[in-house]
Amino acid sequence: MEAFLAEIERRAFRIAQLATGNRDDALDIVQDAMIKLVQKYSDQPAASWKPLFYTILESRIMDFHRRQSVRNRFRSWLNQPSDEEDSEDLLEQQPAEISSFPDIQLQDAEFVEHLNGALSELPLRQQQVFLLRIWEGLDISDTAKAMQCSESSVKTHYSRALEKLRTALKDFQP
Amino acid sequence: MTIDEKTFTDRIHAGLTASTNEIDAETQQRLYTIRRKALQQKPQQTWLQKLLQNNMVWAPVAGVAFCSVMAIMFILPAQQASSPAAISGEYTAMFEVVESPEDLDTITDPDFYLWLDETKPSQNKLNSMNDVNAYTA
Repeated sequence: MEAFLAEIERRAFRIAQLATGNRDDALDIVQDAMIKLVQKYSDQPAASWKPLFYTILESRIMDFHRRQSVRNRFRSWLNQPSDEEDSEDLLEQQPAEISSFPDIQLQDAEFVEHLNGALSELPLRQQQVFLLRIWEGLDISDTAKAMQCSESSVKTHYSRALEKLRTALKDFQP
Repeated sequence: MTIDEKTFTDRIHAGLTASTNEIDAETQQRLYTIRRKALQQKPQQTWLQKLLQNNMVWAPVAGVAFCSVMAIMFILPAQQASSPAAISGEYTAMFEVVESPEDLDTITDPDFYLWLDETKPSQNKLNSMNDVNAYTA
């Protein structure tokens, strides 16, 4: 279990950071997901830990955004300025907040910078589906379970995310 | 997935992986602390697992048996006493009376009971009628 958590913790943190736009919130989410995985599923086969962990992580991310939505609505009722506008489905339409990644000393640092910006601009579900599929390598079925949606939704979110990223990063494509 | 798409997604994958190497030291330390904290958690057991571990398997069985005995003792006799057939028979007779207003008037009239009492054949009359029948036979 320790090796598994050590292997995924950075990626999980980045995924949560992209989703929340905040380091501390991301760390809280990763902590909740790790603790729940150990408490509930440590006796499960090691092969099932990854999809289970990301199911918990995505659930925590969705909870975070639901709480944010409630807070924003409450603020708008009190006529206080809100960072986001209300919409019918905030989780679906709300772009993730822009995260602050440090400069990366790589030859294609510019690409990574643009990539982070483009990923941050994606709607939350598209962003998370894309990261789980491309980065974590989850298949469609496991991604659908983690995101608590249908497999067809996963395909739709993925293709839309890919299309938007292609457009946003067209200058970097071969 | 086309070659172009594969190249594109591979590049994205590499970029994302590279970004994890640049996580600052403080965040890395916090991630380490979080991992240690998570690993110190004890696995939570379900109530069934706890019972099995404490050799308390008989507890749910005893509970089911107790509930069954209670059901046999209290619920079933009560259901039999007020069986649907008996209740429906009583209600049918009541509704038959209520359905015909003439009968209802008769039943609620006190004179009807006086007349019924007067016209009721006494035990002597019945005996004498039996004697007559025996004689004619």
